[in-house]
Amino acid sequence: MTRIELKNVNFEYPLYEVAQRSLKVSLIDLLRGSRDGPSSVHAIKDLSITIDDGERVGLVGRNGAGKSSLLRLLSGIAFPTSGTIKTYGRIVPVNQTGLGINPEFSAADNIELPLRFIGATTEEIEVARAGVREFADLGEFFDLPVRRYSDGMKARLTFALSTSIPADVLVLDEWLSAGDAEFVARAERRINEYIHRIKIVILASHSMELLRTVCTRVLWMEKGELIADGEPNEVIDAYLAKILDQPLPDQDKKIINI
Amino acid sequence: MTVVLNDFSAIFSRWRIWWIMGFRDIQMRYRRSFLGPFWISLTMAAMVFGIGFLFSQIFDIEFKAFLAYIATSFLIWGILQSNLNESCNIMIDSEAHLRAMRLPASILAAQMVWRNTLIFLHNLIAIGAVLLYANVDMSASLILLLPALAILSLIGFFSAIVLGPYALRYRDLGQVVMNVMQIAFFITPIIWMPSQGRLSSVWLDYNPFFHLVEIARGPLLGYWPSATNWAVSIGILIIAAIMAYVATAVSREKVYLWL
Repeated sequence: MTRIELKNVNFEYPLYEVAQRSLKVSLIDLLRGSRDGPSSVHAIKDLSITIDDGERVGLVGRNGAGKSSLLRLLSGIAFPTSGTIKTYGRIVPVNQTGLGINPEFSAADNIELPLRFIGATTEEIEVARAGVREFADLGEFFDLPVRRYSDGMKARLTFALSTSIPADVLVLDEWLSAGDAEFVARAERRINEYIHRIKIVILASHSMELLRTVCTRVLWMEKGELIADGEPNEVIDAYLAKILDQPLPDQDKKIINI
Repeated sequence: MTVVLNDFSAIFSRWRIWWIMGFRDIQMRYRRSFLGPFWISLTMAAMVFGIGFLFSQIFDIEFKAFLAYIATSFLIWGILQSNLNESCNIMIDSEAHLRAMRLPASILAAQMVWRNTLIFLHNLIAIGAVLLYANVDMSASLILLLPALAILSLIGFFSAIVLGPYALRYRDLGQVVMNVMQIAFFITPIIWMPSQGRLSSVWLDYNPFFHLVEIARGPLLGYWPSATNWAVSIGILIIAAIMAYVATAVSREKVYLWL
């Protein structure tokens, strides 16, 4: 059974100033009895949701709405301040940074560690070796050090790695930022195929088109709270109506891709 | 309780991660150099010969005997010092990883211990050659080298689990530890022999580093470390293990917030 349950989840994180990072300063403050703790951000407010097998959940909301925090909580990277999160199944967080890829080594030598990070077994890695070589389509570069690759080639390798082992839950945060049009098209085909085999997909994106095609359910978050939860087209239309009604800060404008 | 123990047992279930990461650390440090990691051995041999020569003149002691002493002392101190100093960096060095996935402190601690074990093995080649040159009589006590090294490595492992997360929270903790280790280097018989020191042996007994160095130095120099040496070392190991358990219980959910 694959399932995710969140009950009354709150997530706050502290914003340390440089001085609060110091043991010396902290000890002096403690002795003086001053209790100015770091200011904190209440990123998720009392969130309760259940995600079942077969659901493809999209997250929409402006920057700072709590989408990334929620994805980190779901991936088990961060822990809730209060409330409980229960997850059943293997969760694979997809990251774009290519974690575990060492630029001094070739793609061939960079397959094992990134996959071990996401919990692959030895058999899965053996299977993945062929698949990654084929999808990344790097030709002779596959056996050259990664530092010689272009950004697009790196993106292809990272993407191929992230989607090469079976998972129960896939957590995606704004994937596909680099790469040419041809690669994006190919990546979308691959992710569609891959997503097919995955029981739960959770993705945050500013591409409404993508969310409309992939998702079966969309959550709209605003300042850490759930504003709407339901059928993708309805939620997305409501979200767009809201944000287009209001003047947007410049940085948000350019990334909303309608 | 079980979540903490699961964090610890990750070093068995996910051993390939620390294995590859520790190995890579060494590969990266010495890539594109002709001797590769054998620079470690060479640097060690050069330092030991230099200090051995200088101090045997100053203290007017027999060169070969002092050389053997200095060589083993540096070898053993090297494990302790690098394990404790680098304990503070295990999480700082892996910040990018910790932002994108959960890695328990135990795996990063194992990575560090494994890397330092590889360095130790390179040093052992150099020091073994020095000991042969100095005609040290090996005895049956050599069999105690292995348990002694295991204790030193485990202490390094546990202290990394304690210090790693807190050095992330308090960025100056690493400096504190480095200073403590620097002082420990001078008050522990490493470049001087216990017989030369003006410190009475009573004070030596209160120095935990003395016991930790002794349990591994004795076997290499052909004598048996005392029962007190062993008892204190095992005691430190147990305390370190308990502290690691408590530190994990307190910090495991906070590491992400401390990045």
